[in-house]
Amino acid sequence: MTIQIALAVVVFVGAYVLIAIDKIPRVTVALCGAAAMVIIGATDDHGVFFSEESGVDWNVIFLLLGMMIIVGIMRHTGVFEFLAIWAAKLARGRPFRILIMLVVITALLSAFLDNVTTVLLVAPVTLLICERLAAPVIPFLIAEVMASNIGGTATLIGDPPNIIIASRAGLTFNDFLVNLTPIVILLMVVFIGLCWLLFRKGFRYEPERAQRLMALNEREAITDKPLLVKCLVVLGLVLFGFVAHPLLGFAPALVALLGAGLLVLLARLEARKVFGDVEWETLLFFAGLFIMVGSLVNLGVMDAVGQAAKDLVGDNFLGAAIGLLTGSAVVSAIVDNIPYVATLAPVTADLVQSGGAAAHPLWWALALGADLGGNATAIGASANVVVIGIAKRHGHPISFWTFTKYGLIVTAVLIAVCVPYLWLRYYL
Amino acid sequence: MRASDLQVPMPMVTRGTTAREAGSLIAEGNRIGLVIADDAGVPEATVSATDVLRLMLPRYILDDFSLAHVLGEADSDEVWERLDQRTIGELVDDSEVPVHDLVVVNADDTVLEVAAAMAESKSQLALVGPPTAGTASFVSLPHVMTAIVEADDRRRSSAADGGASAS
Repeated sequence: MTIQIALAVVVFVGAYVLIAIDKIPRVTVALCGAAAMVIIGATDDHGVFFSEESGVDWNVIFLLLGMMIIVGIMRHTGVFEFLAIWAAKLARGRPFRILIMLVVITALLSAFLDNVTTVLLVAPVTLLICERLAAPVIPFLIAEVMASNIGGTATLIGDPPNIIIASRAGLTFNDFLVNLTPIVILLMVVFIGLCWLLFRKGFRYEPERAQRLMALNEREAITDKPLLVKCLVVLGLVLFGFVAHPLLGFAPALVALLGAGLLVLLARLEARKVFGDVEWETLLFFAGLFIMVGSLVNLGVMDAVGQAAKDLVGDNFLGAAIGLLTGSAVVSAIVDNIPYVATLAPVTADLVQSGGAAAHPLWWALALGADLGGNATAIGASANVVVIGIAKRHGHPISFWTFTKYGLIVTAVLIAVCVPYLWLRYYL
Repeated sequence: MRASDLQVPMPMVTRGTTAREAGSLIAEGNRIGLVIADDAGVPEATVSATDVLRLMLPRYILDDFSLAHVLGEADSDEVWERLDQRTIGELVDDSEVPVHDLVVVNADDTVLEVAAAMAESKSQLALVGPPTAGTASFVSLPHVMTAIVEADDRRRSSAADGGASAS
């Protein structure tokens, strides 16, 4: 091992540790790590900006940017609040039914929106509903954030790790729909059952309270109907663009950017509202991560890790899939799943390349493990941290262990459901 | 005109003052903000009336203003039932609320000096003299603006008088 490789590994591991302990903003860590890689000569300008193997993955960056712009404009319409209140009223004010409705809505939204955005949209309206019903807030918030992490697993655009996997593996939106959406639907059914087991005791139906909820006028939440129509048309076109990829040939990032551009033209909002919800820090964090991982690819470190993985796996791809699924869930429970997947993607790509069709399900194992593992602990996913912050601000603090005791049960059960899915669907 | 000519006594609130009490002080005195004192009664910060208004609103409305539309009038009245449970301390601890460090001016400072100090700190209140426990006197933004406009009026009328005498 050369000094350069040793230094690069130290930079990479150090950045990982700093991201995990979360004392310094993760974007700062990722950019400093990337800068260190450039300084030690592990990568260069061509490697950073133009290399498909070791550079910044612009597909991921621009897909995220496009979707952030679309969602940022759409949230000004009030449609998300409308949906949540409409669903709660459909449940006639019965707390557990409302929980199920909100969980389903959250999972559905999360399949198309970033998880953090979804919980930021759903949490305030949940607090209003709980106040109307005098229902306990904590079960609602915990169930919603978990549903968000589960729902995000279903599609290519639902969770950033899926976007990274899609880009690195060359998978389409439809590949995710065919391979992950069915299992996510099954996981949601199981999750609702778990919610009944874990949370039902705290709920009590009070007819007078239910009347207070039924008095809410969800139509008033829609603040800009013409804009809502424009947003729905553009969102429909974008989803069509994703699904019609084999026909149109546009990469998801291009579809999202074209949709964002069209909506910006149609919405005619001021720049502050159009770009105010773009999380520039997240995009830079991704760029920094790609440069760090790309540096290890340049130096041959990822090839060595890939070779070691190949030697370990041999021909046992079912074992590898189950190992990757459970291992990813464990690691993602502790470490941000974005750097984890960014690191594992080149290794998985090596395995899939050498193993052929039998190794292809490893991508789905990686996505399921990394996405669902975020539910296990209070710090497993960014959305968990955001919801815990909201709960604290509103006077309903959720301790690390309160979240984690539910999270561990839910994650263990859901991962256990994924094991037979992988086996039955791909290896029987 | 000096700061001492513009100063008026201001009531002070503490971290334990409730949203209802703070709101009453602002409404009854037609005030633009409040002065927050420490446990010893020494003024240490100011907060604007709109930020006190934030304290009176439920947090879910602050997180999502469109939710205010879905509540009917009868329901809207119910959201005020927790005014006695919210305190000024929450504003002080809230990183999203710009609680201003106290702007201190001297009694003999000119209107320009007072205006510059308030503009620099984006504060609508300035304490006259060093912070001490007990009743304190403050200059508020409307008083400063009134003094500025009056000074300009005097300048215009004297310029007009000068022009008239010259002709």
